[in-house]
Amino acid sequence: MTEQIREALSQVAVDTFEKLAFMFAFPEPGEPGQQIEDVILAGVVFSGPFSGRVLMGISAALLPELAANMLGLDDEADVTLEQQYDALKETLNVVCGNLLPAIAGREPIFNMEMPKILSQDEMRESESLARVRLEFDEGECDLAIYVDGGVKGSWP
Amino acid sequence: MAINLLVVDDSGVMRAMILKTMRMAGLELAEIHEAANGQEGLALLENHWIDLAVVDINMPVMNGEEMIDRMNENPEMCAIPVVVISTEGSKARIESLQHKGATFIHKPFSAETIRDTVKHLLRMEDDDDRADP
Repeated sequence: MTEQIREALSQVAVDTFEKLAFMFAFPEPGEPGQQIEDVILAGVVFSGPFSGRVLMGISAALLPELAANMLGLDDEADVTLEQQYDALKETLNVVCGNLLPAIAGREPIFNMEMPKILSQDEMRESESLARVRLEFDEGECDLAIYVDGGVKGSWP
Repeated sequence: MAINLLVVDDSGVMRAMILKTMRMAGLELAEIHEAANGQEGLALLENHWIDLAVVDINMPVMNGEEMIDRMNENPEMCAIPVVVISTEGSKARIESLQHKGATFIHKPFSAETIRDTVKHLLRMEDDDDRADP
C-alpha cells in the first residue's frame, strides 16, 4: 500500500505543478536521498479517518518561478518573498487536498488546517508513510506524507 | 457583459491566479473586489453591486461555507451566483455546497472550466453560439 500512496503522491504533485504553474516535473525513482540544499519547507496538518500532515520542501531557487508562473508575471524579479511563500503554501494545499481523496476515496471527510512555512529540520524528524522527489530544470522538490498510526483499511 | 466580481480567498496568489485565468478565458471583468476571508467578503457584498462571487472554503476568520450561509439568509445577497473554487474532495461536502446553491470547481482548475461555469451561471451567450444574420 505504501508504494500505491507513493505513486499517488507523485502523480498528484506532478499534476498540480503542471496545472497551477505550468512547471513540468520528473519524479525521481526510489526514496529521496540527501536533503535538498537551500530548501524552503511548508507543511499542512489534516484530520479525518486518518490524521497527519503533508510536507513539501522545495529548492529556494525554484520559488520565484513557481510564484511568477502562478501570478502570470513575466519577470521573476517582480515577485516578493511573501508571494513566493504564498505560492508554496497554495501549491501544498492543492497537493494535500487532492492526495487525501486519492488515498481514501471521496466518501470520507477530511479537515485541513492552513499550510505553514516550517523550519528545515521538520522533514527529517519522523518516519514518513511515503516520500517522493521531483526533479525540475532548476531545482528539486521533496514531498512526504506522515500519518499518525498509519493508514488502515483497503485501497479504494 | 462585463462582470462585477468578488474573489474571496486567503491566498493573494490564488486570487491573482483566478483573475488571470478569468481574463485568459476571455471573460470581461468590470469592477474587481478582493477579500481574504468570508467576513471581508460579506462586507464588500453589502457595499457593492456584485454579479458573481468566487469563494474559497478553507479560510481563517470566516470560512466559505459560513459566508454562503450568511448570503443565503440575506434577501439582498441570496440571488448572487456563487462559485466555490476549492481543493475539497469529499463528495458529501461538495453536495452540501451545491445544495446551498453554489457551483463547485475543483483546484487545480482550467481556464475552460471557469469560462464555461461563469457563462452558464450568468447566462452569457457564447460568441460561437451567435447566429450570423
